[in-house]
Amino acid sequence: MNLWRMVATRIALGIVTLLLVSAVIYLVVGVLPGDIAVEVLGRNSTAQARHLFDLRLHLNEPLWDRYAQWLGGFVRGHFGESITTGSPVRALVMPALGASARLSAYALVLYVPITLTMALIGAVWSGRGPDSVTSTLTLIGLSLPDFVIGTILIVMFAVVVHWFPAIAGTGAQGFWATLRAITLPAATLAAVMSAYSARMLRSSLIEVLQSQFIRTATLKGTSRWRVIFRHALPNAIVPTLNVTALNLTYLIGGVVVVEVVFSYPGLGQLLVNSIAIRDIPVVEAATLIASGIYIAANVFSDVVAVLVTPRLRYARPAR
Amino acid sequence: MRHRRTLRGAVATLSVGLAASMSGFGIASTAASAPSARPSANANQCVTYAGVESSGSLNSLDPTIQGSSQISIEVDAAYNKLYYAEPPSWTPVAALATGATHNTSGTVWTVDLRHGVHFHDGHEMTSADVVYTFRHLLNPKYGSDEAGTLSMINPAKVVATGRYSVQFTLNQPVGDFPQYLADKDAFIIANNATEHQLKYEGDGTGPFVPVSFQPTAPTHKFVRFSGYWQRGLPKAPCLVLSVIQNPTTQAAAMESGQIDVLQAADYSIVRALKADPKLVLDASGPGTSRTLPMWVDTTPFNNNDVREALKLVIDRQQMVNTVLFGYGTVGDDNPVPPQSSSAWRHNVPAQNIPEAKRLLKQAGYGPSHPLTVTLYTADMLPGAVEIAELYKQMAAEAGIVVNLAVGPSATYWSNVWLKQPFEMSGWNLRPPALALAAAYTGSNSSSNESHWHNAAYDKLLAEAIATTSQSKATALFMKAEKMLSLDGGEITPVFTEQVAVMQKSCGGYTPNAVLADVNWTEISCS
Repeated sequence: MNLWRMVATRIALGIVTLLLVSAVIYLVVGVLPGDIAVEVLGRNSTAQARHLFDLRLHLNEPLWDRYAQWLGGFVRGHFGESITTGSPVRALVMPALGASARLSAYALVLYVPITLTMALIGAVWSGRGPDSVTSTLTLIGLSLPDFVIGTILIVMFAVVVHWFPAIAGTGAQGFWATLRAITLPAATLAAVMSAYSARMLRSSLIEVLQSQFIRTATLKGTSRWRVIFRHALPNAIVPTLNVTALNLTYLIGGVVVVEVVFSYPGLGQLLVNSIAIRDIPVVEAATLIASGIYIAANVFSDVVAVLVTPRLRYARPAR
Repeated sequence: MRHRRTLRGAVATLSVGLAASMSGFGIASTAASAPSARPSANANQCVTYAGVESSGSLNSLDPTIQGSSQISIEVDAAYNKLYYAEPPSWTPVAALATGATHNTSGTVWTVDLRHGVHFHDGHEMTSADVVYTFRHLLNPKYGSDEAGTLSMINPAKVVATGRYSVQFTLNQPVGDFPQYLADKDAFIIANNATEHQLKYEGDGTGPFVPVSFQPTAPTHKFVRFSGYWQRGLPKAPCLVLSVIQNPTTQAAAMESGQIDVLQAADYSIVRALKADPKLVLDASGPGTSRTLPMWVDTTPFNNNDVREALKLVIDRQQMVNTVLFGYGTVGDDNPVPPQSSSAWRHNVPAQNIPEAKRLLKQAGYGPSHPLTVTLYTADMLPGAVEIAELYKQMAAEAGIVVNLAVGPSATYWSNVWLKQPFEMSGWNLRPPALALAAAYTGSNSSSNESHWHNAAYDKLLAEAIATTSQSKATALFMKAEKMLSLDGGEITPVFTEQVAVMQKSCGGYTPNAVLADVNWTEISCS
């Protein structure tokens, strides 16, 4: 089975990639200039206190020894302890990952209908009024950086009309309260992601709509919308799926700016904070999770692409 | 340069002004229909309070290591000190102590403790807790960065002399020891408290009890301690603390009413927030300084003519107006703000380019051979890069070439600071005794950023610290300040002010010039 072999190869390559990533991260964070003891104890701390701190956390040992120890623990399922707080890395990473996952899932829920609607409007009314409106909107979405979009949404929906809170990380309890709190950041992410994919889907839809088999289907008497949903969309969606996979990875790692604008405690902020204080085990865990999701998202999009386009099943797997 | 400043200020004002005017418009048009965007935490009238310094996974309730002002203000809620000292007077006010007596030489101090003070866990505070506190604080294993400042305390000689009295035998005579008991790390912890307990439980005698503290949680909740020793206080039933660093988010959070009190607004949004009738703004007095230390033992800074010229080229008021948007005061090249009653002079000499040029010529520099220096900076403190840029322009007027080396802020304190002969730095406001000693004397300070080793100065300081006469101490401190202003290697152009913003419905809050100090007992919102 071509499909299964492709998946297996991808997973194996993914594991090798993760190992390489872990070594690179250790090395890079290890050689970063700066002193963990100063970061943690403060710039006025005494030399004696810093020395004791280094001894206690084995920071005086060679980097490779520390990496080997960390890796030994990691392959046995231990993420280790945070250097700076001494608490298990799991306790730091899991809430942040959960927060990012909630935000990302919500953004994806918004992303799919926005992309489809914009692309369909653009393709069906191509060159006419509605297309100009959606094209302008997607162009604005593409040109504005995410923090500007986020700020505009805050001004409109938190300051002018008080529909949603301006700060997402309020510790809101309950499903609906949480949903309301993260609506603005999720909408920001969805807007940023949709802009590119909607344009892409629109162009491929237009291309497919002009092909022979669509004309055949139309002449056969199939209704306009059935032609679009049953025949055109599945053929036009493949490139957009790859973009969506890339968008998924943007959601996991690249949402730092959005997290800052909305004061949202996700994985991105944890990563940035941990790098600032050289907390290698936390950086490792956060990076490996992000890399793992990146690899999984790519494999997933390839599999879906193969499933929706049967002809790919007999071709070489896409790289 | 002036153009750039003006433009930048204008853009900031314009963008925030736009947001503000939109908000004004929106409030007028939607006031009837808009539901409140307040989070559920406000349903029981908690005070929602936003600080401005994030510390991520370093967050902790351990008073021994306060890595950010956010940690400090949470510690302020959970614990108490024996004494508190606040600017501008810095007079120590007894809190968990009721008084202190000393022997004639000032080497043995006996502190009487308040009776009937309880920790959150219910046990009464006694001398055992206080003795444990200082032994813990001064144990290098726990890494308090105030160990240097408190080096006159010998931890082995802190002993209980009764259930409510503790005796400190000091390594040197100290005239005003309560001032040191008000030190920023000297919060009283429970006897035998472990590091883990301190970090996560925050079991102190303070007005608020932390609720299931999690370092990385977006908000930290505290509820009123019913057994608090000051009857009738605290006023608020609970606090919800968070951090907002992004200026736009700060403005949005205040204008939407999501946050009750913002500790210190970014200067760029102050004008817009001022225009909002729902908000009250309150500026503190002069607080954190911005300094440009030069190594006085290294060329070209070892020549006082050069140092004086480098001080004279600054238009300090312009620096306050442009970089701090007016929310600051000029400094006098020593750690005591010139408005302070213990300042040696209250008027700082104005910018004087001809005099600077004359001094440079005297030192052998001129148009053909200009004085060339490299100033290291980073965005580690608000305005640190802008002040350096402005300084470069001002120095150029006197023919001085300042090369800027702008590095990453994350590693500035560990990699650049104390390692370069001319750099940017900054200090929290402290009382004269602590400020002068902490930053500048060679003998006691590990952070002598200007390499200031001056026997006469050290002697003045030791004498001032030892004397039990307040007026004599002040006179001696003034002499020390004068030495720094005229001879020292520390350029202190400005002190910043904190601009607190609060909803009209809140009261009982006064911004402290020291970002790490918040008095939580009186604050409340209706």
